[in-house]
Amino acid sequence: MSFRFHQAKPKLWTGPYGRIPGESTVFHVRTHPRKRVPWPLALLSQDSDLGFCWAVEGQEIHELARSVVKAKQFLGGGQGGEFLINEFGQVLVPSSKGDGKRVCAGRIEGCLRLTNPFDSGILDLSDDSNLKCGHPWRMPYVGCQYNLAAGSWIYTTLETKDGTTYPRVPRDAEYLVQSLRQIRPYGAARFIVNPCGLVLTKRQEGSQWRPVYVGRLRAGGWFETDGGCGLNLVTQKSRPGS
Amino acid sequence: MAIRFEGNCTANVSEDAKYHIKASKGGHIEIPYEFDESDQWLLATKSHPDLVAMVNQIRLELNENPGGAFYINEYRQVLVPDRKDKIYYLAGTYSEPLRFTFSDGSKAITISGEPVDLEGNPTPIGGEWKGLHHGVRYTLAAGGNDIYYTCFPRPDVRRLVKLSKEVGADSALQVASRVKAIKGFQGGRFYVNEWREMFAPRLEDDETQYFYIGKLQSDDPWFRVRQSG
Repeated sequence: MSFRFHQAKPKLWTGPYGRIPGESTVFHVRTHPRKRVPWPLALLSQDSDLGFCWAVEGQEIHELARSVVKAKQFLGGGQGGEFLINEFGQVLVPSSKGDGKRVCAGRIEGCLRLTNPFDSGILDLSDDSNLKCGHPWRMPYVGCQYNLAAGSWIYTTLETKDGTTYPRVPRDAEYLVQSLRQIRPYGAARFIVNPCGLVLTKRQEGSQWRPVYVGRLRAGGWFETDGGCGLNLVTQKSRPGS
Repeated sequence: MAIRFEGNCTANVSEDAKYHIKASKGGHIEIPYEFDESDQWLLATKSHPDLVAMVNQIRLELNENPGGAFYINEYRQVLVPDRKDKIYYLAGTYSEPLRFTFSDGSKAITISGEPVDLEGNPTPIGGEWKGLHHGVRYTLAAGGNDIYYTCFPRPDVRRLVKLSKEVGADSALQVASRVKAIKGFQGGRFYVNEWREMFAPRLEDDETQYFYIGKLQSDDPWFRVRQSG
């Protein structure tokens, strides 16, 4: 399945928005230094270097960037900034004013491919073909945050007009809990789910916390979202070049 | 061939934080100087034709028009950013001091990167910085224990270069603590100019003012000099 972007008018988003602080855990739209137009990117840390992983060229990527800018402007912002794509492919754009408002600016389908500035290769955020639970994750650590409680249930955080609630995964997610516990055997843990439904967390190695691969979401074993969108799961067979 | 510089490429935004060559004026070196909130002076000198030639040689090699912005760092290296991609090139070293002298009608005033006020009186450490704002930007890390700068060793890769990695944490702390005395725990940007004088902006009553940190002595622990790579 190649990458597709379905534009939508910016619509206020009241669903979960798990954003881990830091610039490397979100996507950004910034002016591309060579194309000179707003363009999506993610950031990839490698020791003391930070790589700018620009999205691979394509008309749909243009439209994604334009929609994020439009959403930022809808919220009173400027020409770009950070955004997230959840595991349903929904493009969630927060206000730059820090007022907590977010809008959904459309939906992606398929794998988002980025350039790797360290080796000029391509990073496919859906590609876990050679990864097993606990393997190092060497692509951008970007996605929506979820939590594993000390009591081994998975929940998210949702701000509602009545206050903060903590919905749990409504169906059986034992497969995921078991995988997370292989890496984080006890206590509470934070993890992310990337736009292609891959689950990632961090493991302490010395004084550093390094990203590791946990597994892949299974349809039916996860939350549901507004509008009946399915998970944006990309299988190896449907990936371009397979 | 122009040598790409891969040390601290400061990329200052403010016009008063970099020197400019005005080719249209016969190769003047200019720099704006903010006298006060409402009064900005444009300082100019014609006394450095060799420096102008060094910068213009880089422009020529880059196939660009002569003139434009350049910097001189604490090692007196002359750095010229190209106009398109802001890649920095090393034009060479230049040891002649840049001073801008003019008359206000009654007396001669000299402004440079030296720690003196407009009357020529020395600026004490912690005093308001009255010199030029030209300098190479460094950052005091949050907490005030380390200093770093960022550079782009290749396209799309930003590198964080920490002083503690170059000289060790204890040595870095020696210099960082002097900066911290002015910037505070929260850290933030400060500048080192070609005189090796350090100064920093600080918000005072909603207004950004610059303060003198002190001189970076030749035996102070500091980043090693870079040529390229």
